Amino acid sequence: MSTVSTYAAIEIGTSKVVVLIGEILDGKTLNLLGVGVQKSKGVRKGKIVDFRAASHCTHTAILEAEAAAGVKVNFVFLSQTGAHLVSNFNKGSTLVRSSDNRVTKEDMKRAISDAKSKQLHVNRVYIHYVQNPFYLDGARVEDPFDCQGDRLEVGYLSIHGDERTIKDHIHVINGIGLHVEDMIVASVASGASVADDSDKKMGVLVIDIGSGTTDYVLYRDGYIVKTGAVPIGGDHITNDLRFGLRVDHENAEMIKKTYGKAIIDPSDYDEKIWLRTDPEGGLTIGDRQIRKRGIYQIVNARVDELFTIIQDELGGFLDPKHIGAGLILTGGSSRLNGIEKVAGSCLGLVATKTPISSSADPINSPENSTVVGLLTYALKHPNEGKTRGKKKSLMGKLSTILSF
Amino acid sequence: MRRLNKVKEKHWSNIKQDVGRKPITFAAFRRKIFKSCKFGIILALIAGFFTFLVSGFYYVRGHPIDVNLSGPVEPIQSIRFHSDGVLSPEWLKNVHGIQRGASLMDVDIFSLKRKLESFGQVDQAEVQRHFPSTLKVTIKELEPVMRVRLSRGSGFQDLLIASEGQIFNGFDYPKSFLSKLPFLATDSLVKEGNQYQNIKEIQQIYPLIEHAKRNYSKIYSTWRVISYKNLAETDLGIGAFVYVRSSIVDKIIFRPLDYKVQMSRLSVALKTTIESGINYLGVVDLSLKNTAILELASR
Repeated sequence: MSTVSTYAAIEIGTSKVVVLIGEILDGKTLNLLGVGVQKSKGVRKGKIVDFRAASHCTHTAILEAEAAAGVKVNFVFLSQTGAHLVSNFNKGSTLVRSSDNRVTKEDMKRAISDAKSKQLHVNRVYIHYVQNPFYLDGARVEDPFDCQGDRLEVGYLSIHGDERTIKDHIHVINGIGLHVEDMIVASVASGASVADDSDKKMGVLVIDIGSGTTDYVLYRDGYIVKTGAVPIGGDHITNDLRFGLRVDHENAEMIKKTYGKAIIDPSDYDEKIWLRTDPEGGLTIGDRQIRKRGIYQIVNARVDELFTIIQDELGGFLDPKHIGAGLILTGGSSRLNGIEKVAGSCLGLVATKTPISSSADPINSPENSTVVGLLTYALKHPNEGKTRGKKKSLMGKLSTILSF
Repeated sequence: MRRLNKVKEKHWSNIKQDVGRKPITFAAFRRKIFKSCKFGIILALIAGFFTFLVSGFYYVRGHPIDVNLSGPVEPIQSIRFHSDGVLSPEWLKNVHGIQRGASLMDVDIFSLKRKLESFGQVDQAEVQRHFPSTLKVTIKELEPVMRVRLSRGSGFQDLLIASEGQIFNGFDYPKSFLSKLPFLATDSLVKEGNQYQNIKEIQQIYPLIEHAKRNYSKIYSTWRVISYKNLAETDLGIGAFVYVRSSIVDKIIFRPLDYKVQMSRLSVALKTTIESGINYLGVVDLSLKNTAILELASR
């Protein structure tokens, strides 16, 4: 008998809240059922600054997605983003204890617990532990069990975040009567969505440029070695245009989307465009012309700054020799013209953008790569859910059966 | 280990989630109302289902349903009668009282069985319905081994005695059969209601009759009256005697033990006396251990 579980992937972003409902059949097949998108309110750079407003738009998006999917949600996967997220790479090591120097399960457990034993500051909580390969006497081994050696080492990438920010996100979901089953950082989710296994094996950097934050994840040899979030996104470009060109927010957003280029393109930078104040497009007093060069310079400066910050954060990890598959740009702001060229030259990698689909197919658009990635991650890591294995009360089981 | 536990506690999954809080948005309120309604409907359905079950149970208990498991039933066409004795279908016709045209299910077979077994001659009766239209009656009769004569005013009445001492009024027996049964001479008949109590001395006499009938039928055919006396009133057989009056011996005395030897001795004695030309004897006493005493007599 096939088992069907209905999951909702929720991303509470700076510009929008996206809820994607999918069902996983027998833990193998993912069917996307419906999507709900609402303009975000009360969220800034991944942090909830107005709980009621954030709850309102999130709950509305959930109802919209449920109506589109025609099902009620059982489980929620929540993405987490923002500058509060920090990743640490911790190494654990142990001496092989058996007399014949063969590695036992106990040795492996000791190395893992040593790697995970790093204490956190108060008000910080772990979100992920991503295991890296074992090393036995300095040589990499996929499974060290029963291999001969003296010293066993293992690396763990631990991602942790601010407890209060995470609590706020969870309580928004709890507010509509749903329980958060698993939490996945946005960068990891986007990586699961846009990079395939061969990319990860060759080494790939995935950068998800959202409105308020930019998340990145670096894979090497199939493992996540670095992840993080930068509090700069598409909104900063809009703000720069607004102040630089002295226009309102709507016009700045329109200019960014219509004329914005991340590179200073000499082929058309002398062209002028009209900045109109009439919402219906008519010419009125006060309307003026500006050169495209100004737009390009503003956008280029901010985009260049963004990738420079990422370059600084990646530091020694950014070695093109180990990142054979190059750079993949995703997220809503990756639609910006020429952004891949700036990223490529700044980070020294071959950069590509995720294919941009038509607006009629929101599932495959780069804006939604995080939510799609949440479901993909859940499908690929069925046992990693932190609360999925927890025992439920009798009423909890009953409500799950009756799909309350 | 303690250190590791501390680290585990710092995982996001240990943050307490409160899904049952008061909704703060209209969407949450709507969803909660929907959930409550759904829960209420399901509870109502479950409650309704159980109410239906319980009320159905009480209704059925108060109004038992007749379930016909008998198949098609027709009026009784035939009554199959079988007896291991002398009773005939005509006797059954007089006894059963079944109305003409009655169906099988109209006959109370248990009542009929009791009625048949109340007839003294019937030891056991079995009544079966054979669908669609046959009633089967099987009778096991008592086997009479003796008879007892009672005086009734100016006349008399003969009753029959079965092997276990039951006394009954014989029905349908041929006279030739009855005339061969020896009489029991007794003064211990006790009447209980319309019936007599079983006669106990038959337990001492019956083995002798059975042995004589089977092995010495010629001698047995001459026996007319048999009686039993226990002078010592003990169960040991000392002082107890069985007396037989036959057509050729006035009194044959048996000890109620080891009839095989005594009958053999009687046979020899009678053979010897008949061969000697003596046709009638007064007493043959077989109750002594190793000898038989013969007393001659004339008719």
